Amino acid sequence: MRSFLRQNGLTLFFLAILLLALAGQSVAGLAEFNAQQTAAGLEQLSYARYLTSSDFSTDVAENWQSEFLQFTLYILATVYLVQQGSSESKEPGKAGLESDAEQRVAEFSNDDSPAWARVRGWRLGIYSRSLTLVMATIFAASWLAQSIAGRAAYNAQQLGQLQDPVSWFDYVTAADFWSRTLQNWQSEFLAVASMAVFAVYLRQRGSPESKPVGTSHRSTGTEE
Amino acid sequence: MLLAGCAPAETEQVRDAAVDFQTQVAAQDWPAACGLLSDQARGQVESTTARPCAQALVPLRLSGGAVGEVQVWGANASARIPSGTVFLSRFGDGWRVIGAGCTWRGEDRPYDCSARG
Repeated sequence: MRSFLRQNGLTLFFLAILLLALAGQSVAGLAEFNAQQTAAGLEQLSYARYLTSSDFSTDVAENWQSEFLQFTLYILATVYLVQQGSSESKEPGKAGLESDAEQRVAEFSNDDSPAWARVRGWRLGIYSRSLTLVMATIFAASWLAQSIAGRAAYNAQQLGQLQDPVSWFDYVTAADFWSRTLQNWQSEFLAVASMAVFAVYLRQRGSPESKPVGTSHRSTGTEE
Repeated sequence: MLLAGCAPAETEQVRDAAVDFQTQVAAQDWPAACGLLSDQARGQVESTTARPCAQALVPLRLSGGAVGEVQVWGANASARIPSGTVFLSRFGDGWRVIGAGCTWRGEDRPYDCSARG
């Protein structure tokens, strides 16, 4: 058990703080929602009803989609684009999908290579892009969920303000949807750009996200 | 479920509440109609006219008529009637009217309601 925790500590730590943050968000979100209901002379929601409400769902989904978009774009962009001196980047000149030998696939694979990396064909094609495919799928699903839950929350608000509800198409072209979407995207893009360039000049001793402390600013990637 | 916004049971509850309200309005049973308004809507018509709710509703020219399309989103709903729309909201004791005698004023504008709250 102890060795399982030690070997998976990074994932377990972030899953644990994810649950804590979600719990905190739900409590604070319910308080905010009920304050608005009181001000409008409307009924308060119970905690259980709030957890299944469109308001909570859209608040969660809009953040999830932007995180998965960020990682999808970062994974793809770092294939073709470089940042000289950054530990987050490949070395200049290595941009692209790289050779089969460098990627250790098919006849260049090892005995312990994943099964789908050892044979040419559709399985290698899919497995070579599986990280991007899964991240992009979760992004698309989260963004769709945001649009559905967001429309439901928006329509509830519209009716409470004695206005007509809108269709899904009208909602995804409305300011509310794009305001929620873009305010999340801009913060993710800022964080990625900052990380790419800060990693050139700044260090965190012991972190694989950083170059070793004494490495030159001109050195790109984590390898010397 | 709130997320779906259109659970059949909720839609029927809203329709029943809207039909009930329209029936009282058509019968000009104003005390009964007042009993179906939300506290805030009742308070608004009373404070605007400085009369008890049952008297305050008389000059508003609310019209009865069949309930058409019902839409439910979260704890709020609307029901189409021949003269416009009735807006409702869910409270602890059921669905109550938060907007009556409402007519459309244009895109992106709230309905103009004789009684609202």
